[in-house]
Amino acid sequence: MDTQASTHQPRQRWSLRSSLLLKQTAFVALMTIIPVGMLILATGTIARRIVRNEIDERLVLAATDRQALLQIYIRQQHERVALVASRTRLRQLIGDYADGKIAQAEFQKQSRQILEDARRSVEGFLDISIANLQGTVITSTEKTRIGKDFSADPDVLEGRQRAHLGAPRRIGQTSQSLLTAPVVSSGGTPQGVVIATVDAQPIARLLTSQTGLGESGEVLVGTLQGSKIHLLLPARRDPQLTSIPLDGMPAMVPAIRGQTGLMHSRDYRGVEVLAAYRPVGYLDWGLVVKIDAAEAYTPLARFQTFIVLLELAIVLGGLGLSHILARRFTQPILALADKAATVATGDLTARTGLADRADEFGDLARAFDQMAEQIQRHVRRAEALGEASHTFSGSARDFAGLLTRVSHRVAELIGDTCVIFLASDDEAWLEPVALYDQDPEVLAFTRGTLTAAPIRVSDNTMSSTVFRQSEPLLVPQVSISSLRQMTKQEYWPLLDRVASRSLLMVPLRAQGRSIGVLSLARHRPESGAYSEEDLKFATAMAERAGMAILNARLYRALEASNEDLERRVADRTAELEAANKELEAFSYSVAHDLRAPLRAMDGFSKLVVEDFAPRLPEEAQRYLGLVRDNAQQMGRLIDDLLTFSRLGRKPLEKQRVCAADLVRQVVSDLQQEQIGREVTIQIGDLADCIADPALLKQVFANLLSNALKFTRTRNPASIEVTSRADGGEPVYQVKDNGVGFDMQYAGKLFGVFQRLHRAEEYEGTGVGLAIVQRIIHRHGGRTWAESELDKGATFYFTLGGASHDGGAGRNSAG
Amino acid sequence: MTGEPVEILLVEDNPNDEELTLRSLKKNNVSNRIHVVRDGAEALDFLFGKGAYSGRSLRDGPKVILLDLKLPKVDGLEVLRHIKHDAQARKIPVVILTSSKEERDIVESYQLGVNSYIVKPVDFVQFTDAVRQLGLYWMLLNQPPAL
Repeated sequence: MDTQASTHQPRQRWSLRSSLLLKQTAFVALMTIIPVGMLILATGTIARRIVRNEIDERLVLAATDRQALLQIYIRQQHERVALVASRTRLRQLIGDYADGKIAQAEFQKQSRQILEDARRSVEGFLDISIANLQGTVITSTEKTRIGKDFSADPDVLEGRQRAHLGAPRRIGQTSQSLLTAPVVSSGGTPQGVVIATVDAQPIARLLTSQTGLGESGEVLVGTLQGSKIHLLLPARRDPQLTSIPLDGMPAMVPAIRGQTGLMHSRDYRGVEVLAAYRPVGYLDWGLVVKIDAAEAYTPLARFQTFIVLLELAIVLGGLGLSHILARRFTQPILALADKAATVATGDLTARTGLADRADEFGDLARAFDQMAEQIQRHVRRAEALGEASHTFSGSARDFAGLLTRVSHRVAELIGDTCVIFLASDDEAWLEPVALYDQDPEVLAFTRGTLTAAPIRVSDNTMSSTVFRQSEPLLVPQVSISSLRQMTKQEYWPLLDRVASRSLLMVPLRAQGRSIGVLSLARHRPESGAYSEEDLKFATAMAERAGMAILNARLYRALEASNEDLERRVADRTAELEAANKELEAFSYSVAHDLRAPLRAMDGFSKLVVEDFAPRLPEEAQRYLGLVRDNAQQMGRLIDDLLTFSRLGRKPLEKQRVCAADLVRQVVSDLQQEQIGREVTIQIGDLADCIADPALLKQVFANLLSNALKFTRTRNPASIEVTSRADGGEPVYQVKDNGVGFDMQYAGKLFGVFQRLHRAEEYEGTGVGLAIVQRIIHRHGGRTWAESELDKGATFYFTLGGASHDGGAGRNSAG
Repeated sequence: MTGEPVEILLVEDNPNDEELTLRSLKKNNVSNRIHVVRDGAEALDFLFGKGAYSGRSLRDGPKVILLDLKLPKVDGLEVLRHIKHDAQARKIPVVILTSSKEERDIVESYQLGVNSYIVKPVDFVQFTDAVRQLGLYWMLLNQPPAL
C-alpha cells in the first residue's frame, strides 16, 4: 500500500508546489519589486534635485566668491597704481620736466629712482613707466620702454582719466596686464599717465586654486571679442586656450551682459557641465564657475548604485522570505495532501500529525483527521457488514459458531456487551444463545444473571418489548433508577454492577417475523453513548444475522431431510445390490444346477437306450429320444439366456477390429454346420471398425449361423458378407438366399424368444437375434433386416458414430 | 480304497454326474482306480491326510484331480487354492469339470493355476467324449513329475 502511494505521489506534490509555492513567491516578488522600484525612481529624482541644488549653491557661492576676489584685486591694483601716480616727488619731477626745469637725463635718473622704489615696494609690478599726455613714455624702470608710444593703447587712454586695470594679455607662458592711472599736478592739471605692467599670474592662480569645486571645477574669466569669447585668464584645463566660440561656453555670454544665473550645458571640451555665471562687475568681464556634471553627480550615482543594491537585497530577501513563508504554508498542505493520498489508497489509519497546531492548518488537520476517523469507522463497519455477510453465509453448517461470531463481531465494533436472544420454538421464552464481552468478569456475571432469570416473551422487559413490537430501542443515556423500573428485579444487581450507560436493542428478523433480539450495552465510561449511526449498524448487522440464522435453520432442516434421503438411497442401493447379488447367484445356479439335471436326463435316457435297447419297444426308444432332444434344447436355451444376460453386465472393451478377419474366423468355426452341403460364403471388402472384438464376433456368428440355418433347403446356399459406407458410417450386411420371412413380422425379429419359424422346421432358442441387437445397441449402433418370404433375407447393422475412421484399412475379399 | 494307489480323485457332489462320469471313465478303459469325495472338505482331508483319511500320503495318489466348482462346505476354487499353495500337492494336475461357463470362474481358476477347465456338456454323447479325452490325456499322454 505504502509503496504504491509513494510511486504516484511526487507528481501530485510537484504540481501542488508549483502552483502554490511559485505563485506565492512570484506574488511577493512583484509586491516588493514594484514599490521599491518606484521608491528608487522617486528617491533618485529627489536625490538628483538635492544634489543639483547643492551643486548650484556651491557654484553660485564659488562664483560670488571669485567675483569678490576679482573685484578686491582690481581695486587693490587701482589703489596701488594711484599711489604711485600720487607720489608728490614724482609729480614735481614730471612738472619740472614738462616745464623744462630739469634736464631729461636728470629727470630720468631721479624719476626712475622713484619708480624703482615703487616697483620694489609693490609685489607683482614688473615695471613702471610714465607716459606724457601724448602717450609717449618719458621715463621707466625699463630703459627700453622710454620713447615707446602708447597713444593708441586703450588702457593708456583710459588711464588718462582714472586708475584702470587692462585686460590681461598673454605673453608666452605668462599673462600680463597694463595698470594705468593719471598723474595729476597739485593744481589738478593732468601731467601724464603711470603705466605699470602687472603679472596676472597670481590672480589667475588665486582664481583657479582652492576652487572648492572638486577635480573638475574651473573658473573662467572672459570678455567678448567679436563673435568669440576671449579668455582673460588661462583656463585651468587648457592654459594655452585664449579664445573659444560662443557655444564653447554659453554661460559666458549672459555673464558678460551683466546677468547672473545657472546653466547646464556643454563646455569647450564638449563635456557636460553645470555652470554658474555672473559679471565680474568691472568693464565687460564675465565670470563663469563650472563643474563637470559627471563629477557633480558622482554622489548621486553612488547613491543610486546603493539604492539598486538595496532593492536587489530587498527583492532577494523578499523572495527568500516569501519562499520560506510559502513553504511554511505549503508544508502542512503537502502533508495533508500526502495523508489524503495515503487515505485514498485505502490506508485509513493515516493521520496528519498536525492536529496540535494552533493555526488554521491545525483546524484543517483536525477536520481531516476527524474525516479520516469517520471514514475509517464507516469502512470498518462496512467491512464488518461485508465480512459478516460472508462469514454468516459460510456458517450455515455451524449454527452455534455463527451466533458466537455475530456476538463477537458486534461487541468488538460497537461494544461493550452483546447478547443474542432467540425465541424458543414455542415463542414463550427469549433464550440467550450467544453472549460476549471482552471483560471476562462482566461476561461471567451477565451469563450468571441471564441463567438465573430467564426472560419470557410476555414479560415487560426491554428485550421482550423489542421482540414483540419488532422495533429497535435506543437508550443513549441510562439512568439506573429509570432502568430499574423497566427491568425485572433480578437484573438490578447486574445493572448496579455493570452500570450500563447506554443501551441498544434491535430485533432479529427473518421473513418479516421477529426471531430474537440483538442486545447491546455499554458499561465502560470511555465507550460513550450509542448513536443513531450505531443503531443503523446494529440494524444492518441484525438483518444479516437474521438471514444467516434463518439460512442455518433451513440448512439444518435440509441436512436432516438430506440425511433421511441419503439413508433411503443407501437402503435402496443395498436392496438393489442384494437383489443383483441374488440374481447373479441365480444365474450361477442356472448355469450349474439347471444343467446337471438336464445332463442326468439326457445321460440316463442314453444309457437306457444303450443298455436296454433290445428289450425296449421301438416307440419307447423314440420317446427316450424325445426326452434327450428336449433336454438338449433346454441346455441350449439356458446357454443362450446366460449369454444374453451376461451381455448386460460385461463392460465393452473396444479396439480396432479387422472385420474381414473376424468373419473368416467365424466361417471357419461354423465348418461343422456346412458339412454335407453346398455353401458359398463370400466375404466382401469389409471396413475396419472400433468395437469389442468378442462381442462383434458373436454378432457375426449369430447372423452367419442363422443364414446357414435358413438356407438349409437351398442348393447351392449363397451367403454374402459385405459392408458399405453410409454417410461415413459403415453398414455391415449379411445376405442369404434362404427361406426369408414375412416383413409384417419384422418387428418381432429381434425380441427374446421370438421365432418366425416352427421349431420342428428350424431349431433354435429365439435368443440369437436378441443377442445381436443387444450387442449392437451397446455399441450405439442400429440393426435391421429386409426380406421377402422365400427370397432370402438381408441383416444389416452399424456400430455407432465412434466405431469407424472413414474406411481406412479395408481388406480385400477372401 | 487302500492297497493300490488311487489314480483319479473325483470331487463331485451330484451323484448323477458322479455316476455318468465314472461310467464314461470306466467304459473308455481309462482307469478303475478312482476315488470319489462328495465335498471340498473331504477332498482336502483326502489330499492332506486329515480327518477320516489321516495317515494317507500323497504318494498314494491321485495322479489327477477332477474337481467340480460348486461344492458343499468348501467350494472348488477354495480347494484349488489350497492345492496350488501346497508345495507337494501343486504338482498334481487339477482339471475343473463343471457346469459353469462363467467367465470369472474360468479366469480365477487359471489364475490359481488350474491345468484344464472343462465345461460339462448337457449332451451325454458329448459329455462321454469329453471325459474320455481328458482321461486319455491326463492318464496316458501326460508325463507328471515324481511326487
